[in-house]
Amino acid sequence: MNVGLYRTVAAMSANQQRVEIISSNIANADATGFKRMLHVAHGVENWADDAGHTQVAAASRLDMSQGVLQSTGNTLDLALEGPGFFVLEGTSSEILTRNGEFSLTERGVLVNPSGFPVQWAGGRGIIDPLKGAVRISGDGVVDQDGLPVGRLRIVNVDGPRSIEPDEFGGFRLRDGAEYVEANATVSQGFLERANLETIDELVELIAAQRSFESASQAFKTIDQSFSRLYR
Amino acid sequence: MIRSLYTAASGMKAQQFQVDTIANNIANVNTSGFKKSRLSFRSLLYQTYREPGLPLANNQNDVTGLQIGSGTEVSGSRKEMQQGVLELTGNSLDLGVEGAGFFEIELPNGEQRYTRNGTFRQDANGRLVTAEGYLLSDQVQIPPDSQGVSISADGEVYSLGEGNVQNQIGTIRLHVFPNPTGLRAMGGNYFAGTPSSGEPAATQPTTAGAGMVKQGYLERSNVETVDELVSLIVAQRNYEVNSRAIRVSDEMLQQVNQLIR
Repeated sequence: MNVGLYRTVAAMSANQQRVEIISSNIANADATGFKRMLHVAHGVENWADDAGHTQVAAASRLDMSQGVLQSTGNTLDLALEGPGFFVLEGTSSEILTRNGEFSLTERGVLVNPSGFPVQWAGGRGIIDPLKGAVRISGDGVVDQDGLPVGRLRIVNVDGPRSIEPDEFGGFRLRDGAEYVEANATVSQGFLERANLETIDELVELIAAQRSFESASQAFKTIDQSFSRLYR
Repeated sequence: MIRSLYTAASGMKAQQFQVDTIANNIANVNTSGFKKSRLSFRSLLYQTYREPGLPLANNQNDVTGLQIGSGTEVSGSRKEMQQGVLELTGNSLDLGVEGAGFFEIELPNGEQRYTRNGTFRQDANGRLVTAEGYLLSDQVQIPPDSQGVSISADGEVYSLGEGNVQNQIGTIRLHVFPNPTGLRAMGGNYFAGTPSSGEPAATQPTTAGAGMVKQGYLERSNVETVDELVSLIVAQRNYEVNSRAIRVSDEMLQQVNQLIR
C-alpha cells in the first residue's frame, strides 16, 4: 500500500469540497443577510502505525462578519449592525436570521419574505398597516404615529459554532447552545448584503483549483514511478 | 464535484432572474405610476457531511464539522412602493397621488384593479375613464356644459357650471392596502389584490395615510436608472463569477479523468 497515493486523493477530495463551498458562497452573492462559509483545512493523523504523517481533511466554518448595509428606503427593511439575529417563529423551531426584509400581513403581523412571523420581546406587537409612519429605533423599539408598539426580539449566540444553516435560509441553534445578550443595532431602511466579495471568492476558487491540480499531478507522478517499478 | 456544478448553475439562474427584473424596471422608467420590483434570494439547503464533534481519527475530534451549501434560490419578488416624483402636466384630469393610496378601476367584467397611474379622461358620457376606457369605480360624471373641473386634495370633484357656480359632482377615494408589496402586477399599470396584500380600505384622501390627490400632476415611475444600472453591472459580474465556478469544476473533473491512462 502506498500511503502517498491515498494522501493525494485526500488532498484532491478536500480541495473538491473547498470548491463546493466557494461555489455556494458565490451563488449566494445576492442573498440578503447571507453569511459565507469558510473552508478550513486541517491535518489529521490518520495512519496509526505511521505517526507523524498527516493527511488533510476539509471542514467548514461560518464567517459571521458584518455585511455591507445597503440603503433601500423601505420602512420595514431592517439591517443589524453588530453581532445578533432577528428571531422568526418557524414551524417547528425558532429561525435566526440577519435578513430583515420584512413586511406586514393584513392583520398587521410583521413577517419575513417566506411568511414566518418575527418574534417580539414580550408580546407580539401589532402594527396597523393602515395607520401612519412606523419608526424603529436602534435598539429595536417600534413606534407607530409616536405610540409604542413593542420591541423586536434580537438575540446573539456564543460564536458561529453554536449555530448552523437551516433549510429556510436562516440559522438554527445547535443542540446544547444557548442565546446570549445581543449587542446589535437595528438600522431602519437598510438591508445587509451577503458578507462576501466575489473577487476574494474568485481568488479562493483559483487557489483551490491549482491545489487540486498539484495533488493530481502528485498522484500521476507516484503512479508513474510505480509503473516503472513494476516494469 | 458534480455538486458545485449545480450550485453555480443555481447562482447563474438567480442572476438571470435578477437581470430580467432589472430590464423590466429600466424598460418602465417612463411609465407613469410604475413601481419597480425587487427580488429576494435565500440560500438553499446545506448538506452536512460531518457533524461537528465527531471523532475523526486517533483521539481527534472534528471541531467544526463540514457543511456545504447547495446554492441559492429566488425566494420572492416584491413591488417597491416608494413614492415616485410628481410631475406637473397641467392637464386637469391628470391625478397624482402623494401617499400610499391607489385609484380603484372597474373592469368591464366587474373585477377591481388598482393603479397609481392617474391619467384619466372623459368618455362619451362624461364619465372618468382610464386610457384603456375602464371606469373609475367612484363614478364621476362631468356634465356636458361644464366649463372646467377642479379636484381638491381630499378628492372632491367640482364642476364649474354656468355663471361660475361650483357644483360637487363626486368624490374620488383612494384605496389603501395593508401590505401593498404583496399586490399582483397585472400589466397595463394595474394591480390586483391578493390574500397577501389584504383587502383594500376605501379612504377619503388626506386621511389615515392614504395620501392626497394632486390635480394636474402625474406620478413618474419610481425607477432610478442609475441604481438599476449599478445593479445590472453587479448582476452581470456575479453571473460571470458563477460561470467561472462551473468552468473550474469542469476542469477539475477533466483532470480526474486524465489520472487514469
